[in-house]
Amino acid sequence: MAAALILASPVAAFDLTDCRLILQSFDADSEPLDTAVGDPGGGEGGTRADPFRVDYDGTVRYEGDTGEQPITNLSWSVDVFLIPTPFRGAGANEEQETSAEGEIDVSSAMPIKITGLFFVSGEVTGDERACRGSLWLRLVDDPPASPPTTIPFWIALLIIALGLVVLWQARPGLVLPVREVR
Amino acid sequence: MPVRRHPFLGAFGGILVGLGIGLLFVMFEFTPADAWTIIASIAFFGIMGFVYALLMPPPSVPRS
Repeated sequence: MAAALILASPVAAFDLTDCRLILQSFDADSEPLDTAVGDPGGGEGGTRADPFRVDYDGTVRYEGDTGEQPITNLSWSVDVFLIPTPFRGAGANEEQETSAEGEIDVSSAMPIKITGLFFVSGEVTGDERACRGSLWLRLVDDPPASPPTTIPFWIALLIIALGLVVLWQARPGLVLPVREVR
Repeated sequence: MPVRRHPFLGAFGGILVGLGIGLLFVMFEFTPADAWTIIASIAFFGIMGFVYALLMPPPSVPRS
């Protein structure tokens, strides 16, 4: 699992430090959708110009390795647009494993369906080594829906409207003197 | 006449506006500040809200 989350600083390519990660996305019918490879040499895919496409109702398969040296006493985390997410954890890696693979169900990992372009970064840090990286990810829907037809779009507008109401309440006011009524 | 100001409420309102606009940026795949797009949007509108509430002139004194 940790290897899937080896995704840090904004880069132009799917660049990883000290590790390698292969990502494959599949649509709801388990048909291959896209592939991205992250490695210290720059990798392929996962850039802003060529983001890694992921179907909200599909899955993402990951396969990662840290070379010959394992990362022990590790902690891992994933950020979206540099904002920390609940996807984080830690482990001792007592088995000295250097690779990991698995599958992530996108809809269960992301309870709210917001399609669009995301910057995802992450890291796995251990006793002596660290693996960091980032990629651009395009979350798509099948069939494709334009933003105004989706609920998150209207939620975003509602948040803006709420913010404007709060701003209106925050406008300066005069403290009027209290007059005694006789 | 003393003026009552609410800069932190203004900052909160601005943060909400920035969050909503940041979400729209994501949906429309418009990332003007790269990886910092959401944080920059929230910070910008939060500061704007704070400044608005702190510096905006108060309403004119009502005539009695």
